[in-house]
Amino acid sequence: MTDLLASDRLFFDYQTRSRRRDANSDWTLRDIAVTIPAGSTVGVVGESGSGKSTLVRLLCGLLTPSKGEITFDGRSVKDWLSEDRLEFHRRNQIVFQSPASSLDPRLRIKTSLSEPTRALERRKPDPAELSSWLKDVGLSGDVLSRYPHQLSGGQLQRIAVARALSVRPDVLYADEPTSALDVSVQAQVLNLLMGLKQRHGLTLVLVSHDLAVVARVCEQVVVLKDGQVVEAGQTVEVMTDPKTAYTRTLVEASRATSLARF
Amino acid sequence: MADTDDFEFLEIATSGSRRRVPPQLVIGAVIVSVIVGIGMVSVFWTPYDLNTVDVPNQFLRPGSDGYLLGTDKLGRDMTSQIMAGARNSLLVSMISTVASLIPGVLIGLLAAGASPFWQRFISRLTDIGIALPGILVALVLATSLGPGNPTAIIAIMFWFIPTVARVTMGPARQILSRDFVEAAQAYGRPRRFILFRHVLPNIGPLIIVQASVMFALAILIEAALSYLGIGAQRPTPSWGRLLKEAQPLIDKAPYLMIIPGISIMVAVIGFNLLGDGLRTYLDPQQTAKGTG
Amino acid sequence: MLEIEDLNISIGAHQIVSLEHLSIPAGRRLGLVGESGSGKTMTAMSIIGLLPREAVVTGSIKFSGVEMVNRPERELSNFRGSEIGTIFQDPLRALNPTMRVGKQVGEALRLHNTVPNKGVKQRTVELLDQVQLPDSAALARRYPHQLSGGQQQRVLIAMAIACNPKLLIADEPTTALDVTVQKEILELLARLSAERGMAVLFVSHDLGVIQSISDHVAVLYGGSLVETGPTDQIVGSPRHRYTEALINVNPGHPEDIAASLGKPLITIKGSVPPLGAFLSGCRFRGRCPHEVDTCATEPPITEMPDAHSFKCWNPVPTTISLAPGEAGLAKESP
Repeated sequence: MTDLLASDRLFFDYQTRSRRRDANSDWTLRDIAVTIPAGSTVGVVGESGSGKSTLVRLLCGLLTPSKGEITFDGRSVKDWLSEDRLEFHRRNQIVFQSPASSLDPRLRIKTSLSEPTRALERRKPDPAELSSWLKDVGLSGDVLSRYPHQLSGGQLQRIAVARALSVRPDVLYADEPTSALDVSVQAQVLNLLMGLKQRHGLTLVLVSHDLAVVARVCEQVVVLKDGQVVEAGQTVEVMTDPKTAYTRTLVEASRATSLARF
Repeated sequence: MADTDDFEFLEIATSGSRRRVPPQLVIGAVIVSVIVGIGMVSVFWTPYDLNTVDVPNQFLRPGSDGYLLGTDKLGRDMTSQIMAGARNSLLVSMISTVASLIPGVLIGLLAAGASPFWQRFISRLTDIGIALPGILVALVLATSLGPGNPTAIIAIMFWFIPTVARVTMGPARQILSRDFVEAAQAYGRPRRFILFRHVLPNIGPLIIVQASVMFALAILIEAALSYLGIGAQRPTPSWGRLLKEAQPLIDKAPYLMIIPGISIMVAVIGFNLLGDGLRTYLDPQQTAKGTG
Repeated sequence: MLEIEDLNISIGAHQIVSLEHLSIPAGRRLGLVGESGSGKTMTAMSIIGLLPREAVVTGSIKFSGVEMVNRPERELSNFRGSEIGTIFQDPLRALNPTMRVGKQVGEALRLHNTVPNKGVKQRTVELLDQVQLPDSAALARRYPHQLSGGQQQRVLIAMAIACNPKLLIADEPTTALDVTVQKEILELLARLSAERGMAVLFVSHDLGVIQSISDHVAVLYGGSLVETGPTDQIVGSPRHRYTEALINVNPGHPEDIAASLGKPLITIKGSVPPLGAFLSGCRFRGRCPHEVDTCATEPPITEMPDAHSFKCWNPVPTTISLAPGEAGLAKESP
């Protein structure tokens, strides 16, 4: 597998550089090197404040690194954004945690769903396309004329996924896509993501605080702590034989609070 | 975080049901439409000519034959004056409110989407604007522009624009932090576009409410400026001007002050009720609480 | 110690909760599990009378023999904080942002006059020590926003146990916390409960969390109690089809990661219907894969040994020999 995405010596801070006093302390992300092979499923794990959400926002171009380089498909993201911004966005899509706030409450589902196509391909999708996108995520065309508040969290999250996939991206980033959902809905959304990944040959980057979810879905895992990568590798290896004390604590805590069947 | 709030469940179940119209909204709407109606009628018809002097009929009490609200010291009909005054009040308030809203909302919106530096800069600027005493600004304007309706309108704009910008900026920033804004950026929408496509419609109800409250305030300010002699001048009819003219006669004919005073009060209350009613009606929470 | 009988909570025409029987003996920990809209928070809040004004409550909730239903607010507020402590999901919202945390714990002590005024300060520090906050004397002088989420939750626990309550109601207290902090808080609650003989009603949507803290579990679905029993029996051999489904959908901690990786999870078809849209009879009807004709009528409560009971016409078959009265109800599933 070739590496679709790679970052090297990546630094990021929300403060602009001129306001920073010390060059080395308190970076939100510090010295991050990750590689994401095409077609893989990568989990980004960490506690709140570890910088996992910030990392995916850097990778998909919503934030710009303070230092360091991100390469997407052999070309620097900086160049992508200055020369081929729309094409980069088309190929990198993201789904967020809160289904209630991922869709504009004032727009009908139809409109929200058409937005990426209108923005990136400069055309209006026809009704058949809209229905087929919804069918892909297991929803019927009935929801098209509804408003977000008329739908459940699980339905909204499916629509957010359909919206992201409507422009046929290469990479789908999912930032805690199930942590605001009930456990029964969580299973449906995770299955949906795994199925879509298979069908469309996506690269899936899943941010989660829940190791049990990552262990089910992701082949590879990156463990973040305080803005640094503490461990990365195959999920099976990282979880069965953690190399660092922090990962071990994380795995044990997850084991203690996850459901154990007899 | 899982959504575990069982009350949310109720919201889903009742979201299809009708919204309840709050009583303030109905009362406010009735008062406002009556005043607007009177103002509009006065353009075409008033019981008597506004400026015809009829000294023999001076100081008629309200309820006198043919003069519902009496006459002033020169025998001019008060009913006609009040009707025409409504027209002037509404016109000045409307122009100044709309003329403040457009630049105010624009400044607030653009500031919310700007860099932290510009956000701070605009905030300080609006702070200064809000801190300036409006009456003082109006007096300075009057000395350079001369009194009259345009002076009143410009003074009210100075008064309102910083407030509107401030009121817009906070909620706009809140909307900008929502996930659908990030999603829009991720599908390549520029920030300016997002401000008008997503942020403005979402703060729309808030601006409508703000506008109706501002309208009430504008009526009050217009009256105050005319009372001080900065606003409308004779022959332009104005409630504030009527108040001013009646002041020396407060012992002889108190109704000459009471009638325009009550007119101002009713108009202000009407628009405030409308604003309050709209706030309740447009509040998305209301649907959840409204019906059980 | 807490006995709930025939509890009905309704708002307008909608019946939200309908419980036949639920009890917590002194010093035991009961986990109340359910998805959003199951009525679990309503049930917990009805014990201390914190329901929306429109809610109509009938039935009986007896706390140490005292009837709590429709008791005047003034008397109920005496129970809150002294006899019954409560902690919530979002600790920052439950704390006063303008008050030092030590003072807030002190307020809780003063309000119910448990200690003389002089002793309040010392007792506050003791309480903060008991919830294992480091450097408690210094920490007491901080404001809530200066503490981490886990520390805030510990302060809330300290406030809740300040007056030695007999019952602690914990409504999703760990949902907002990181998994490592979650584990510590759960251990703390278990230890406090054991040391003080304090009963705990633990409300959560997460069966994994419930499993790690409670001795007994009550499963709610659509406001109805579908199954209750000892935790290991509920998780190990559930009888109600909904409980079974709830366990199956949970990814759990995989023992064989390589084998389960990328495999689809088991799901429940459909979604929880909105209030008032439940079918008659069994609440789980329409989503249950093991429906039989009788499911259209309300299933009876089947009692089993060890206080295990459930309401299902076609329960999960068990390897344990059936109790006499139950034989006719348990059909062997194909």
